[in-house]
Amino acid sequence: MANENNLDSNNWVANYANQLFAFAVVRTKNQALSEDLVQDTFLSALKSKEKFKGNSSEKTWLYAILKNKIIDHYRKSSTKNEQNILDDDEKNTDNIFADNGHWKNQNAFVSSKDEASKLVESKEFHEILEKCLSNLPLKTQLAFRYKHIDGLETEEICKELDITASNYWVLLHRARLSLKDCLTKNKMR
Amino acid sequence: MFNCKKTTRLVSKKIDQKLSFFEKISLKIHLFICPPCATFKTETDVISDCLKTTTSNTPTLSEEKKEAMKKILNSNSI
Repeated sequence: MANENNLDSNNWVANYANQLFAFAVVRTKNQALSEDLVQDTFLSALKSKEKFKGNSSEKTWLYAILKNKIIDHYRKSSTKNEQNILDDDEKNTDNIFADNGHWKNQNAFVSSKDEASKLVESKEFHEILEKCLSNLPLKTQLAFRYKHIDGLETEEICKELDITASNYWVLLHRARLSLKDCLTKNKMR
Repeated sequence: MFNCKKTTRLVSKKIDQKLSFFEKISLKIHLFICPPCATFKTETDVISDCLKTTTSNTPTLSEEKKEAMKKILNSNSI
């Protein structure tokens, strides 16, 4: 088998499978889906071997393909949801703020600074947070994870999710309000 | 003077962008006099801090899965 453009497809699995898998799991929180995405990535890479220009490393190239697979996945499953969020920003906050812009209720999941630092340490709270995060529309969730877990720059996130910067800020703000709501409800139970 | 709805937007904005001088002052004053908004600010900090400490105990693929992938790749590369 010829190695085109310095691509060493025989060793892809050995060299990159774990890294790519971990990357996908962080973003999708779904191991089975991540396995499929990694496998698809390798297959796509194989098919488009001749398109590899060699101006990036093999690894960077594989990551780029995987990123696109992840975005495609989210695009398929979340376009509708997200559009509603962006369209109905006013409606969406109706249950949180009154017409005069004041809080409708003062429920909260943190009541003191002391409690705040305890929550950050609490495993149970982390689990509730994860649950609330995964309830968010997918693109919102992803934007939030990229920002807060991966620490990516705004520009990079917008490019990856194919959204404008102002959409991105709306999504993040909506995410914070929804998370507050969800965490408060779950904590009161 | 901003209302609570607008103030929560500033709390969010401050995490991602630079606030103008006017926005900074308005935010400070509002948070000082409005406990629910101050709480919202604390809550967003708690969420960020939690996610920061999310230890990514790196998941790895099983050897079987890797072997399966190798096989599929081999059968496709000929």
